[in-house]
Amino acid sequence: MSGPGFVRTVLAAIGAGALLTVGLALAGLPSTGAGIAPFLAHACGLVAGYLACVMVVLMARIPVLERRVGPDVLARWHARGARIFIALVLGHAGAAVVAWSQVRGTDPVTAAREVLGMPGLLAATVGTVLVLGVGAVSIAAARRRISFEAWHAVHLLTYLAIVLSFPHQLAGPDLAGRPVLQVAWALMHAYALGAVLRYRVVGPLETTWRHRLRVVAVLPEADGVVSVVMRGRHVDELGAQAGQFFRWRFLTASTWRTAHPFSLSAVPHGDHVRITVKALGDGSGLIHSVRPGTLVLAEGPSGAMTARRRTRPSVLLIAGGVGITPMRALFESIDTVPGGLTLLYRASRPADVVFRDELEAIARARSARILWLVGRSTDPDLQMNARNMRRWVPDVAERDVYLCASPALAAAARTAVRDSGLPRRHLHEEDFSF
Amino acid sequence: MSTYVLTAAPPLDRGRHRSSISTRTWRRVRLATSLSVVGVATVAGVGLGLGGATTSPVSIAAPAPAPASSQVRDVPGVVDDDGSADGPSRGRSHHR
Repeated sequence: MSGPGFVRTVLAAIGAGALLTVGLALAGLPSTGAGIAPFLAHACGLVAGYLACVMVVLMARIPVLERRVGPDVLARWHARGARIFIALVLGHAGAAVVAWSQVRGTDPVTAAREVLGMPGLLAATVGTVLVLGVGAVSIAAARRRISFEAWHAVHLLTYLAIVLSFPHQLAGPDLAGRPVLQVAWALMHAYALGAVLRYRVVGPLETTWRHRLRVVAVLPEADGVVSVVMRGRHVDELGAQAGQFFRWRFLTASTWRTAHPFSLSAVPHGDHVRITVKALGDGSGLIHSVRPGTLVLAEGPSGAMTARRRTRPSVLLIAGGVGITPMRALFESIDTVPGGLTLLYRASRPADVVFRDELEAIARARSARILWLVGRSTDPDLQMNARNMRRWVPDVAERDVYLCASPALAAAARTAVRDSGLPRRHLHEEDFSF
Repeated sequence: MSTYVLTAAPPLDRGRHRSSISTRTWRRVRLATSLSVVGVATVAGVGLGLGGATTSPVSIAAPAPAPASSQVRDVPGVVDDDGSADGPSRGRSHHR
């Protein structure tokens, strides 16, 4: 199945599950005496419980999803789904209070107090507060104010929130007293958390034990940019392809807490792998200081921006700044017709250019072409637009285009190639800013 | 600019093949790990699901008349048709 076909299938499966859950809520309603509020409470609660599992699975780093859908797409689905999830949880709580106040003939405040006294409701409410907290730190304005590490730590509370709300879900009238449905619901949660355990906890430990990746060199490349070269054993078993990345956790006192996604900046050679890192945040800055001998936990490989996506004989690679890292690996390895490979490399200053010598050596060896676009963005000849794109690469519409750059440059390049006539399905990119 | 050529063995990589197993064996180990996680999750899911069958149910819907044949027992926090508070129960037909 093709990449887009697989993506559509995954989305259809998620949608079908949601519809099935709504059907469960409808079937669970009493035949008489039920109003809209109880139905909303049931449906919102059940779909929220289902969606919580979907959100967990999307972030469980299941290899087939990571490689065929792509982590950036999964992260986008997760972010959108999380907003729906929070709305459903709030809708469930509100509708439940309204329904109870109608049943009891009391005011909403009294009804809310009574609902909170029901079995499992207090824990579920704590879980809801935790989810709202996670949602709050994920709002763009708040997200910009806290470090990735702090944001990630708060995000882990989501698992606690799911555990706290689980007894309440089983006690809901749609499931309670129906052992088959209760077991199915519990299995759905157990498998979702099992996937996290398998791929986010056991997987990296397994990889560490098997491959024993250790840092062997930290090499300066450009201003604020270093390459970290690691050596391990059975590196070929990792199955890493050019264009992919791993989440790296360097086991030092200051860096072990968080895994950071960095692309391979070269195709694995023998028992070596290399990444190239620019100091952009707290975590990536600390990685500059890791020493040879440091043990490394690697999760991956992830990423769908590989040569598998290529369907045309010629390829254009567009890189901006440190976005050159996956492009460098693709430039070295992707198959094209002779003379059909072009790299367009945008940097603000000559000092920001990474891998100049290596890129030129690869270009010579592969008869490939490099367009160095180095200078200020105010220079009209360097601006990323359709007119310049057609001037730089006249046959851009006939190629597969791979793109990795900062969000602003990526947006400009996306528009430039699309306006130059490139069909969307031939543009391959991943957003690494998640 | 650096050149990506490394020839020296890393200092902490001594005995690197000492405990190696073959790729085929390693794949089996990984499969066994996956199956173990699936097994644990299945046992946990079935256990939680069946254990949940004893959970006191919660309903915010209006109560519906109970079938004559049902064994009516009380449910905590749920109101019967007559408006009285309930006691423990596993049934569901009477608290709708």
